Amino acid sequence: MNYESARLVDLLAGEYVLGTLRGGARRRFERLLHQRPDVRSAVWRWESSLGELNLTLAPVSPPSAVWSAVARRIEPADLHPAWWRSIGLWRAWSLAASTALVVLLVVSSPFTTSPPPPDSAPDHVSVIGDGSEPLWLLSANLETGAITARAVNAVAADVDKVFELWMLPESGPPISMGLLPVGGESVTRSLPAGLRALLRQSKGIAVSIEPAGGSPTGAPTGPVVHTARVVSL
Amino acid sequence: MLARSALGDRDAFQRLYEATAPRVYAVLLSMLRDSALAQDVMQDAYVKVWGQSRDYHADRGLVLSWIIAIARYRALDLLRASKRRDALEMEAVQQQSLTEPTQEGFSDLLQECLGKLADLQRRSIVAAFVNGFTHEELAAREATPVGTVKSRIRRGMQRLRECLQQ
Repeated sequence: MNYESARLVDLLAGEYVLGTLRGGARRRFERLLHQRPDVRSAVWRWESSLGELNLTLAPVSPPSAVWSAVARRIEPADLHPAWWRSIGLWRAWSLAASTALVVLLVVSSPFTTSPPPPDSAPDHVSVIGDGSEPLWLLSANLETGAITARAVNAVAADVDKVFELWMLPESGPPISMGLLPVGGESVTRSLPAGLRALLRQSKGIAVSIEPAGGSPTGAPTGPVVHTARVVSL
Repeated sequence: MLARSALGDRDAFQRLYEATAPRVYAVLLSMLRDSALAQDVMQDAYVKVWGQSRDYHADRGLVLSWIIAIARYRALDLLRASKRRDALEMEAVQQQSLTEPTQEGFSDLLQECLGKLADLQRRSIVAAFVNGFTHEELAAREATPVGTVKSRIRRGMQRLRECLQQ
């Protein structure tokens, strides 16, 4: 079968989503799905289009036993790969981050951009990544308020798009922490005292894709593409 | 809620479950026609959502669509693994009316494109998607050769694709 034909791939994707692609053809298509982004995109387009049909069904509340069973099965939570929790990684990165050349970029942010005190070794860190590849390293000293984001593998989202960093407080909506650098750059900001406590107790951080200049509303408007925890050293 | 779930926030995940589960359960009941089986698939699907919530991104469409897709593929696997529904189920399948889309709940574009299909094409595609019917089940319902159903769906999907891409 000619899987290079975009038209054929799209039709196979449609029948895959429909459920009528079966047996060996379905298995071959699933292998392709894992290998090729264009095939995945075709499947997602069909899922979105045909998925609207599901909304014609009247919602039915499942018995409460279903959630109880789900809750039992996800306990204990163990989502994150071991490297994420590696103390060695945090220590090594903490050292690197504290000695890294800091490039101050002025971006739209609710935070002041005055240079942090020179001696502010990080006490909180976060690795924002995609699978096993770290994209940004974030370090903060919550005593001084200095917070540095360094792009280690992150490249620009798109021509007129930027990555915006959000704190996810224990309660309440996400709070912008400014735009993230790309292409090996670093940015350091000074976090106001009120927000340091929030970050210390936060659920973590998230990254969304926003229009150039950042979210126009003060809340994430684009897709949330990454989330990460903030770890105390 | 999904972003928080990805960070292991169980409360956020429970809120996500409560907001989406009735839609997901309706889809599974429509496909599986067995509440115990639908509940088992619900469990598997949400455990998978919990485990994969970090992998979700906006290109996948709405969060609800993504969760439903996970549940649907699990249900399809079960339906296909059992090879065929037993005689009693087949009788129920044959008596079940095909789901006809209403105008409520989906976009004008899909409505318009489905409207351009021949009646049997539309009914077969909707029944395959919403009810999980195989080619064979659709053929049995309509006393039509399986090959006819296959080509009808293929042609219908081609027309749907052309219309949706315009």
